[in-house]
Amino acid sequence: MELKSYDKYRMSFAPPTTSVKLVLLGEAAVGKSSLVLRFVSNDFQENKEPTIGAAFLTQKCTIGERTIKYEIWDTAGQERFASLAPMYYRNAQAALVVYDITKPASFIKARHWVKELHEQASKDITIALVGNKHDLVEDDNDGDDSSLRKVSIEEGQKLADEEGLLFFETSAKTAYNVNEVFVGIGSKIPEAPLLKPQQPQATDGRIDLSTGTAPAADGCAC
Amino acid sequence: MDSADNMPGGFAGSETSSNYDQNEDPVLDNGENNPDVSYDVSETNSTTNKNENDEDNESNDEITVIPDIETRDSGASDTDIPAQHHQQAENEAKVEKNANLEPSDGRPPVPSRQILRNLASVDPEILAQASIGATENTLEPEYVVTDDLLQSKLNQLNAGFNNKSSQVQTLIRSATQNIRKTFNDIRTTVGALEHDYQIDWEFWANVVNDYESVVQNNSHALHSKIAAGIPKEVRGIVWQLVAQSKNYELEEFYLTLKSETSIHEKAIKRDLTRTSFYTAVDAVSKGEDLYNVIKAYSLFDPDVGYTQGMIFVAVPLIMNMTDSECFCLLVTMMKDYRLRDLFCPDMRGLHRQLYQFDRLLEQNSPLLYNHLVKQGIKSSMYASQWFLTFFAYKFPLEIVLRIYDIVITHGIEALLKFAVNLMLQNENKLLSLKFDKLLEFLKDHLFNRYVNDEFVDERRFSLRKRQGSSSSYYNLDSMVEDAMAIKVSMVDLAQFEREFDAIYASEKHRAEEIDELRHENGRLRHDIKALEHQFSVLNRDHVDIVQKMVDTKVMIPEIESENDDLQKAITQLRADLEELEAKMKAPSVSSSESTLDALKSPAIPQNIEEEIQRLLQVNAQEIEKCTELEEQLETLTVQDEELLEKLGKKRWWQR
Ligand SMILES: Nc1nc2c(ncn2[C@@H]2O[C@H](COP(=O)(O)OP(=O)(O)OP(=O)(O)O)[C@@H](O)[C@H]2O)c(=O)[nH]1
Ligand SMILES: [Mg+2]
Repeated sequence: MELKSYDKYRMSFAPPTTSVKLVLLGEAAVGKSSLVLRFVSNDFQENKEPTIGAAFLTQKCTIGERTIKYEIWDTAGQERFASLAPMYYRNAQAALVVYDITKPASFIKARHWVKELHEQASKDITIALVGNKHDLVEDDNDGDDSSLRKVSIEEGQKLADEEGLLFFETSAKTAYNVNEVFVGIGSKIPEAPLLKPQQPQATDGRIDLSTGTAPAADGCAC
Repeated sequence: MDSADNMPGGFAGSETSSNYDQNEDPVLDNGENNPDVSYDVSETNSTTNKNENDEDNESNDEITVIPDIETRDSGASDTDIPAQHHQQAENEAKVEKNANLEPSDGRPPVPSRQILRNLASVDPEILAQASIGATENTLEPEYVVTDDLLQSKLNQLNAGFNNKSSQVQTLIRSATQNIRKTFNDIRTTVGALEHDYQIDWEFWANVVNDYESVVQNNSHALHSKIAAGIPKEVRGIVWQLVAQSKNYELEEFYLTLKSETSIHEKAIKRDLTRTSFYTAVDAVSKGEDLYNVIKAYSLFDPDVGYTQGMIFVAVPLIMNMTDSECFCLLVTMMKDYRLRDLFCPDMRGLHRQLYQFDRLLEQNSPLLYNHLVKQGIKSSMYASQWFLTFFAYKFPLEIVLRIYDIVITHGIEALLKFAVNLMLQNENKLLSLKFDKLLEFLKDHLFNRYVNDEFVDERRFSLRKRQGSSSSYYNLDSMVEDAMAIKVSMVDLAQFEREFDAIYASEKHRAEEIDELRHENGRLRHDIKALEHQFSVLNRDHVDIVQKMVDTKVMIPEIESENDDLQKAITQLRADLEELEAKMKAPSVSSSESTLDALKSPAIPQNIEEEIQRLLQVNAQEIEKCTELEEQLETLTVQDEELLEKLGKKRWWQR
């Protein structure tokens, strides 16, 4: 009897909400805060103030049966703040590495962030590469010289493929593809990440010499 | 005062970055951060031209103009602003010559040096400002430290002033004189107007004319007047006087910098319109001035360059003075208020201030401090922007101006008072919140506590709402008052700073070790990869070889049997050969033809055989024919005999 009612009680629960710590990285003014603002408040500001230090926001997101609560750290893009970044990505389960498709330098910076994440962040971190400001090239003829686009979709996809990242081109301004990024990340996050204790860096990229077999090429270790 | 005064030869500027970058070669570091910086020597020279030659200082010039890593390491150059420097300022031709010579010694031009040399030729004191050797010395200040921040600040500024060369002192004095004149002009024009509020002109005139004696003799009134807000009409004037910032030479230098190009231009432009105050700045057409000041500073102090907080910090200044004055005050604040530490590449000053904040919070409210620690919230997560922008980031200009009144007169240590006060004022609320909400509150709602009662029901912050109203949205007086009531002892702060330095040094050391290990690890990983690659190559080779071996083993019997066959053939041939040889020995017995036959036979053995066969066949046929014929003959003979018998009578003659 007791058991039965207990069961009933238990079954009335919706599937548990998974909390996902997510960090945004990328050069200054690529639109990190704008992406978060779009995702969290479905809003856009033409002159978004630079992030000083970092900003924290949360937003829930339902993917099929599951609800994911994103705990988002939006970091400051300026180089000088880079030393603060590890504090935010160290325990992150997901990261958005953002660049501006009209700014080639921001793509180079994105590469650096990906590398740093692979080296320093948790081993199972899910990373999405995001080329933002798609609205600026929407009407452009790709390949034509006057195009504002400076980073081709292929370049982005190539980097993502090489490094095992999700890849999106987005516009915080028009909301194009913004939710998709978070849904995409969410579907790649394992069901109950808490069950699997994370050991940031502990086994990161190491090779178990005892087994004698070389691991399959597992991303770029160095 | 410090170390430096009588040291010839050092180049104050050369230390700029190393003061902040304890562990790296400042030159390299600088190169990394600003790879593209290069200053045109000719421009440098153009600014040196106004100085006059002075033969006496030749030798010093040599040393000064080739500032270097070597001299830096000797320690002599450290924060060195020698008296000679000052005279060198007049020594134009020499400096110029040396500047031109320098590249020939094979050293690439180092941007920071270059620009600082530039400064040196303008005025070594200015250069001293850029170098801000102060950081090294702040722990043992040479001015009297009291728990009164305002008094301490004045002492510190005076000490700084006294350390300046008499020439610079004169320059500053004359600028001060000029500001006083401006004050009097304003007093006559504004004072004549009707106001809905009273300005105590008498009092502010005293401040402007002799700040120091007001501090000494009328400290109480001064504190309360400043806490109540410096009248906006004279705010910029009072700030500059207190900070002793205005300096014609520096203003002139600003004008030259203004027309130069900075690698940070793009970034500054990009951020300019992104600051919440920009509309206010733009409204009074100060946008370009603001841009120029920030750009000029990035050129003036290339090691710091441009940081995103700077615009916020400069806005209240530009709103209250001309652009060149704003530049002077910004430079003064960077140096004498240690703002530079906040913005330098490793942001050491920020971390120091955060540490001091943590300790003060712990002192003032252990409960709240522990709560934050338990919630996993670090002060850097919410307070970085307070210190980097003087609360300008999220909070409205009216608040920020009041904070500036305090900061300029008390030093940036006063920011800690505001920060701690805000925490204490919201203590209960903060204690009730958990991580998410706590962070949100810390970022956006701390000032709600000071919203005036009449606005209380619309406590949701919105700029537009505020603007419509004539009375102040915030109760700024009580905010400042409360903050000033927080005890912040300079002695404690110095102690905290020492602690911080120790922690920072050890952390930096550890970080370096970690870095080194990571580097080593990366190298080893690389090696392992290479070895793995080699291993797999070897493995492949191994497999190939094994395969080949198997193939070979399969082939051996074949080859052996082939070999056997060949062996047999050889034996056969040998036998043939012997036979032939034997035949060749026989000819003496037979006739000459037969010898010939024997000789020919090996060549045409088959023909002979065939021939024999053929002949045998022919023979057989012949024999057969022969037999046939014999048979026929026999039959004929029989017939003949029969006929003879029949014809016996006829053949009478045979009888
Ligand atoms: N056209 C266009 N502009 C955008 C888009 N996203 C952001 N912006 C603009 O780009 C500027 C920078 O955006 P932010 O979101 O502040 O950039 P950030 O990456 O957070 O910058 P930091 O905080 O300085 O690191 C702002 O003026 C935005 O309005 C976009 O998708 N399209
Ligand atoms: Mg941002």
